[in-house]
Amino acid sequence: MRDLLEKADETPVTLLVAIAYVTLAVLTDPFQPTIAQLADYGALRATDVWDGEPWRLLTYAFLHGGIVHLAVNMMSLLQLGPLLERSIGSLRFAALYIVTAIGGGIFGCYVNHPLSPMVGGSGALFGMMGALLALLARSGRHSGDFFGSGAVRSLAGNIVVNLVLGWLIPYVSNAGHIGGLITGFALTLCFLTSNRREPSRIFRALQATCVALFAAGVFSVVAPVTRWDYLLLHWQRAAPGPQRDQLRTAYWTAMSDGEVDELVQTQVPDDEATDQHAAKFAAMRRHER
Amino acid sequence: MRRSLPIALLSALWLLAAWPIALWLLAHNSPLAAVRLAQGAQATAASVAFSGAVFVLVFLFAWPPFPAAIRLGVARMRAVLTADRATLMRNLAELRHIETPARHLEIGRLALQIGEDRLAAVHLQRAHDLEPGHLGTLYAIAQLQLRLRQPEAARVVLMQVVEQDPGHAFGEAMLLLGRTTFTLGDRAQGLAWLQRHEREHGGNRKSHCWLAEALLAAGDTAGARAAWQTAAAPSKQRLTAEENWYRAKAKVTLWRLRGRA
Repeated sequence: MRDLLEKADETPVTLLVAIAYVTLAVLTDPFQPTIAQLADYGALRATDVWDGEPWRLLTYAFLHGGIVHLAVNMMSLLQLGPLLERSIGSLRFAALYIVTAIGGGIFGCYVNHPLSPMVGGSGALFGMMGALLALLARSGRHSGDFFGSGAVRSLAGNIVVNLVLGWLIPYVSNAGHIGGLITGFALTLCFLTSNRREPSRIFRALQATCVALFAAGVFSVVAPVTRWDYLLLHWQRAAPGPQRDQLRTAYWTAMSDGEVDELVQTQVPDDEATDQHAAKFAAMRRHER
Repeated sequence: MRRSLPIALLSALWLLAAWPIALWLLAHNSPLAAVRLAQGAQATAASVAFSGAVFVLVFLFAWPPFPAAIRLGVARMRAVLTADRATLMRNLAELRHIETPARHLEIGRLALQIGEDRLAAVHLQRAHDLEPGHLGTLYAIAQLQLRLRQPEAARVVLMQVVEQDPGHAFGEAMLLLGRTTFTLGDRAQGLAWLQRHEREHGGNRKSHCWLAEALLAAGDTAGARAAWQTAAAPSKQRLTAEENWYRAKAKVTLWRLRGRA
């Protein structure tokens, strides 16, 4: 910590992120923030993202669910942040944090329940570990250097241990961790390492593909047109008519999870039943907040 | 094949990226069709993933060098993706001012390394035109011909190289000549070249495997077994992907030969 403060001019982004962690913890409740408090300050819920709050894909990465959560992530940030920021530069580090936070958020939206809130900087922190792996991969002359390196093994072991802990400890979302890890690795490998050589056409195509996949990921969580919560609330907002009927049938099909079509077609519940579902869902959204 | 695999993979990823947009467009007209399509795709993806996992497991049992083959494929793809093009570009630019056979040869070699066969062919041919009989050019042409599946032509060129310099490319030219001759059907002559390579240059895992095949074809099972055992011997140092592949092949072959006279 002292090192971070003394050399704050070398690692300004890490310092700013640490300050953001502490500030938001104080604004919510550093010890046991409620879900409503976290939601007000930007916790990530898939259903909120598509309903006009896509900024939650980033803001969740600065919030924490308690003092232990904050302490663990702060420790990781202070270990990894300065190391990476000095290696790749402050602007690139800031971009890395932002992109990996969003990447972790995308995975979280896919895997978690749409109403389940997600907070924590560990998606971005896993992204930093992915970035370190990528830096080590680019520095080796051939794959033997990479897999044989002690640094790689130590880092990989660290990642595995953290993922296992994520599975064992309740309320920890490994989806965010994995999303951040993959995003950080891909981003650093393709864009953030210094390129002494002229990249080949296939490498340029790979870069473009990564950008396309990331954009598609963001689009798919902002417009999850086949997910049940999206269909339910769109049904509720639609004017009476064929479109509303379509949405109702689509919602019940999505809920039935692809079971026998005839069952859905003959037994699609009517407007009243769907309306009750929508009301219950809206109450759950309000209650959780 | 060398370039089509990365292109196929990238194309698949682009299709994946287009998927959410396609669903969104479909949902505008028919939300139900979009949901059904998504559920169908999910079920298909799950089946494909399961089948893939079963396939990999079966392959691991049926063809044990599979992991080594994966490693070799990844190493080759990595070599293509990280190939240094700056030197090639520089040589091409300098060629405009002064044309020399050495420069054409350098460009041809670099193009071969990065998989640009057409470019390599043009420049190696030009290097040969300017300086016929240059061994380095002839050897590079033979490598290109082998890659383009023209073994008969490659054999002729390799013969010229080996006759003038038996130790060219640290014996690799003789090794390739032996292998090419063997695969073209002249097994006795192929074996002779491979044995000569073994005597004069010691051999590596690849040469031991090829020699073993030639010895087996000639009826010398004991000699073949010994050569495979040499190829399959453990190493204290980490092997390259290609060495690892040949070692895996030798191990599997020995395992299959176990029990035969």
